Amino acid sequence: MDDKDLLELFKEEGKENYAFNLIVDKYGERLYWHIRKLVASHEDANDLLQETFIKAWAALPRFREESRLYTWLYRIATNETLTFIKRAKLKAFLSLSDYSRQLENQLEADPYFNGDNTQMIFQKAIMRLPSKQKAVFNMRYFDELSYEDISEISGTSVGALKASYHHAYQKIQDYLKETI
Amino acid sequence: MKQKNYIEDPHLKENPFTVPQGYFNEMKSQVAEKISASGSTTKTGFITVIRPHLALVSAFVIIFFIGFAALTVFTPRVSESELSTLTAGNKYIEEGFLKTTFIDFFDIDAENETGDIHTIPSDEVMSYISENIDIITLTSLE
Repeated sequence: MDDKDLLELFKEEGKENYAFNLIVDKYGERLYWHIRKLVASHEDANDLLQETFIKAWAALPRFREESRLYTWLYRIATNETLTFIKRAKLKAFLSLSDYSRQLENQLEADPYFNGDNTQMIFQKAIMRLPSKQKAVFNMRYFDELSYEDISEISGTSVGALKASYHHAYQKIQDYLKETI
Repeated sequence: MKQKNYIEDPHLKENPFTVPQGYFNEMKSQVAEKISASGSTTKTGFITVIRPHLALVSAFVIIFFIGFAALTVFTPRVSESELSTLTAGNKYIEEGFLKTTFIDFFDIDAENETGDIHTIPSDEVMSYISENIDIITLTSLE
């Protein structure tokens, strides 16, 4: 069922829950991985994903279809995650520690990380990026979204996104060269 | 020699993260439970529709009360003793003890002057006329 049909179904009296469950079914996994790659921890990713869907459920009746459903959901998920990271960074700053260092430690101790050493180093390089740049890099590199879609999600111009991706790419490449 | 481009290695594009077994099914039912518990409040209800209007009305009411409070605070008050004097005055006016009007104040002096004239006895007037005016003048007055 495509997004248009899902939205039509959602508008029908008494079918909101069913339609929304279909939306969760369709996009839940994709959004989870998007969040997970930003926060590393499974527990945090799960909480943020549920929060994303609760917000989407509350806002869906006002969704005016000016953007596509999946970019709209991505936007909610990205905003939720970036807000979470901002709070976590502030918390880390107040406790005189470094947030990216915390993420690296979390990654090393994560029982749900099955990557090899190269993948570990690669993920650490991504964790060192500023959070918005990290989100742009992940959406482009892993999710293979077009710059136009990322622009719709982030509200940033395509030109600025290309520059951001290029900077992120360069930083990661430099880190990999030094570390591997 | 060309340097190795690590990022373009397809191996790095693979997802190194995993989830607990059966997580996605569990997540879907957790979300379903949460949205069921929140009820069907997501539909555009009456309150949602009138909320902006209510906000506007509330803003006007608040502004009115702020203005009223400002006037009350900054306007000089009439003391209780002054108020009681005024009230007593009104009472006298109502009962007819004080019949002072604008015309009364205006005519006070004139009334006094005519009062003086009326107090001259008529005998004195007659004797003054007979001493000072001759008979011809008197007949011409008729």
